[in-house]
Amino acid sequence: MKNLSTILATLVLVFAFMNSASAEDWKVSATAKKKLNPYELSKKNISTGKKVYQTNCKSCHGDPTKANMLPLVPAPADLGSQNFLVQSDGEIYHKVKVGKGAMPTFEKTLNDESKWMVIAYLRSFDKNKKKAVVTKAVVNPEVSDVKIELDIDSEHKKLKAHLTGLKKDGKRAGLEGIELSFLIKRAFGQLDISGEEAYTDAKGELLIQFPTDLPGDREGQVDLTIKITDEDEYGVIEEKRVLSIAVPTNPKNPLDERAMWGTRANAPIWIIASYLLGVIGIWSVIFLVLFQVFQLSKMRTKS
Amino acid sequence: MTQKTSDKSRRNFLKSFGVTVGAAGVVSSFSLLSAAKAAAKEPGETVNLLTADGQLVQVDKNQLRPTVNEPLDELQQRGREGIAGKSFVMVIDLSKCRNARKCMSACQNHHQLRADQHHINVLQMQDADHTAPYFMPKPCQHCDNPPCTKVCPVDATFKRQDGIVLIDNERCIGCRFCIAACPYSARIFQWTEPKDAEKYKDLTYNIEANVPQKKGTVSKCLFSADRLREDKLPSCVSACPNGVYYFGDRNEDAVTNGTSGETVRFSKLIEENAGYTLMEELGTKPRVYYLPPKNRAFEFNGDLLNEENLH
Amino acid sequence: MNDDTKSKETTLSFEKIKQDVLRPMQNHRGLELWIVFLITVISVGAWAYYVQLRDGLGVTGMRDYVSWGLYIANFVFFVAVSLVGMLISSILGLLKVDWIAPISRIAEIIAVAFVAVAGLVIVLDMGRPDRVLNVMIHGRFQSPILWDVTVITTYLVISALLLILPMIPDLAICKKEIKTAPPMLKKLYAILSFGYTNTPEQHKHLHKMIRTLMVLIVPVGLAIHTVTSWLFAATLRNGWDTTIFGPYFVAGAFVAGSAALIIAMYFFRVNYKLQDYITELHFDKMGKLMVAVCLVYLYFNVNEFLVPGYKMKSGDSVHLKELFFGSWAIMFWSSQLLGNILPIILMVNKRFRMPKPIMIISIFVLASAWFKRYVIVIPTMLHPHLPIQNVPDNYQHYFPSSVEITVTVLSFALALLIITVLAKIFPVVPICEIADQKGIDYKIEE
Repeated sequence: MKNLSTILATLVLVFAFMNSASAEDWKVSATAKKKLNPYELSKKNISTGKKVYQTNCKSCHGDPTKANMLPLVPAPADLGSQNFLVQSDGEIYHKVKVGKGAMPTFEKTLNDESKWMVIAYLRSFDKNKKKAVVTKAVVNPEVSDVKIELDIDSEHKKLKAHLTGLKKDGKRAGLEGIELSFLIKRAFGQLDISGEEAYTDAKGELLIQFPTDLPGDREGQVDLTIKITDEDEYGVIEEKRVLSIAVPTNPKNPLDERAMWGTRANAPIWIIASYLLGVIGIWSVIFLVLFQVFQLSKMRTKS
Repeated sequence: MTQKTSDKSRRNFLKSFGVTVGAAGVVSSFSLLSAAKAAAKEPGETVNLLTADGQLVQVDKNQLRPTVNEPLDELQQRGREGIAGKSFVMVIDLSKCRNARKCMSACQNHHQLRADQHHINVLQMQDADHTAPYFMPKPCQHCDNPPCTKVCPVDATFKRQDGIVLIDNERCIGCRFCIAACPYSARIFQWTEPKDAEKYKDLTYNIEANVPQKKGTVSKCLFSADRLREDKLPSCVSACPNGVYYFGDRNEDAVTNGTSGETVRFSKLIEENAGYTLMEELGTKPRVYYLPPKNRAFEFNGDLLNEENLH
Repeated sequence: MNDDTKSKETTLSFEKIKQDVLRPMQNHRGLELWIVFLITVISVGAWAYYVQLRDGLGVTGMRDYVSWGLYIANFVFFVAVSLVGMLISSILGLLKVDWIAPISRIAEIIAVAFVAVAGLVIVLDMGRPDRVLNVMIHGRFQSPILWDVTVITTYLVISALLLILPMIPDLAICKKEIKTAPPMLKKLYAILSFGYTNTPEQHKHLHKMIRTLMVLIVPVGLAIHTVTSWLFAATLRNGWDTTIFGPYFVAGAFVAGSAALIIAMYFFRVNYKLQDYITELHFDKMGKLMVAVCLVYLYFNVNEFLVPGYKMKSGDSVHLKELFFGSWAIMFWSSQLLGNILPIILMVNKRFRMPKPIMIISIFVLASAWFKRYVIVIPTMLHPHLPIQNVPDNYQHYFPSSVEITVTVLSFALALLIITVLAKIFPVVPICEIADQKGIDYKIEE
């Protein structure tokens, strides 16, 4: 706990009243504690868990072991710390499920599988259990210079990524079972079009169907980034491309039409016409009458 | 992606101290430190700020001011034109709103509003006698057939090409016709001197944030148009801790969740969750979409006033 | 005030008419005191308005939900009353109804005073009155406000012309007869009489112009109150979102205007001793006219409230229940009963069309008309589509503040001052027109 406090203090404010009670206050029954994660700690599961974590947990808890959580009181725990991971799977599961105080309940927001996947992901930070991680049968050769190549089938809007690495013998080999992310740049974020099972096959290849109805710019261009989802093993490996296979959009400018709600410059012609005709019509009669009034005195002299 | 989200958490961090860091968004550590020194002479309420280079500084709250560098004419012109090619939309997921009200306070900070003035207001709704109550954040709906701009006598409120309905404080005559016309009660009026009027009085008026606010004029939600210009999400969207808000460009068919940073297809999100717009029978064509409050992840607590229930 | 002097069958000569009408203009008894009183009230109101300018509209009872309050209700009332000028001197004049001759000028004076003050009241309600010219510079054709400003200005000008033009022969008489007038006023008479000597050519020419204006004011008069009703009907709010608001407002305006005219008629008849000119016949006729317009107004009221009340649509139901049975019930029902239903029942009876009773009824009708405007404007603002939440308690209710009330009193004092001054410097009963009507020959010398 002391260690945790020091990390916090260096980063944010000193929470002198660092809430150490938060861990003890949870009431987790003995049966709940005994529950075990029914999913294995496979690479795939950990990677799935990581995704769930980033969408649902990261905004408060920050990245595991990085201690960059939100400065709330009580502070959200660093879920990658050993202090946290001494708990059993069942204990963590229970806390995710019911929540407490500022920690929301995920009973309905996350299905059971996702909850366990998150726990699998967190376990991957557990120094004591790391040995227990069951890696998938696939073992890729040790490689360097990992890169992603992309083939584009414009007609069918299909993208084929080829993930290869340079083996020690100087030959390039496809890397199998690696998850790739296909990200399309949008105004405020990256749209992931990879789909559910975006893992490379034995040749290191992955075929993705580009959404047929996704809008691009006027020419149908979009910015694509392909990257290895999990940066831990090979570091940041990404490939950027401008694709011309999206649906060309011609943004409609709502101000092109004259409308009742538009500015004066965009007022409907008929309303401008009626206003001006009314004003000119009535005021010209008024001025005519005024002019006529001044004729009265001339008539006096005539008579 | 990781880069993006860590930027976000930093922003959240600043937000959590209730500090608005500028229309320009960049505050140099130098000016902050000198501000901190000045503050030392006159101790007042201080706030802690994280500078761009990662230093933590303490600054007197009164020393903080948004930074605006552009001249008024330029701000007015670009503010009225809007961002070409964009068509902004917001999606509010009612199943996630638990009345945390971080959106409201972030908005009030950004737009220099008092605590009882709302550009966005989290309402406790119940549609009929025996239907379930729910919380509904209600910003300006930025209608495509806006009743408010129809009635404005002087073009002070208007719709831009990117769909945002703005207010020009420099022109508003304070007739309040737009307030009467808005069926969503989205507009407020500055009945008295606005909050901190003295402090902000020399500040150049920024139409895209409607700051500084002016006595005798109307104000309302602007989708944080000044932030959108810098590809940042609106203040309320970024501030939500519960993933209620999505915001994006309808032309790109994508909206981004302000909490998780996740980007999804706008059309799919609406389709899969039976999204709807508020009072569509009025024909106002809102740009704010709601996802129904089903499968809520928490108990609804009806007591709005009880602070403990807010989490 | 008393009304004892019965109008006897006197043979009117031109000299007598002239003297009867011009006498009150030269007699200042009590007038200075009355004007000083009005100016004092106006000064207090002006001070209240200064406070409002200084501290913002926050000094009023209005807040974000009830953002239109007393001022707008009062504005609608002033516009409504001003419409009497168009009803009496134009519509009835064009229909060649001859009994209106002695009261048409009073009607025009009321019209000019009330429409002028209505224009001012709108400015008093603005958050930034210093930017009032923006309406001219940046005016949007789609906004009812631009139309309202235009129409009010136009109506004021035409009403003023309809006041002055038929008065030209009388002013030519004033120029000669009122010797005690201050030089400024003499000059005014000289200018405004346009050298009129009642030559047949002049007479014909003048009446042609007057008829033109009478025709012209009909569309403008209808427009002024229709456009005012659009300030409400153009919104999507419960209670305002209705299609009959235009004719509904026009009908209501005729009721309010007639009532104001009857009160003024009674006042001038008694105070200016004009029993020979503003006779019981005129009150009787006005009573009948008022029954007619009240019936039209009642018909619109039935439509306006019964139809939505029958359906009780979700939004409307809250609003209507509050009006019918809730916190607005007293104001709503008393304005309907005292301002509409009871006057109809009473005034079908000839006895109640005598000067004094009808004047008293008219006071109730006018007061009810004012409260009716209040009931039209404020409850709707308190019943928006979405709930009023997270705002201070005083946002959920509305009661005008003392500043607001004082500024509103100012508007009444100002209207009364304008009427007082106009009725002092101009003959309130048209001398020459009555002579024309009675077939009395007269000459206007230069």
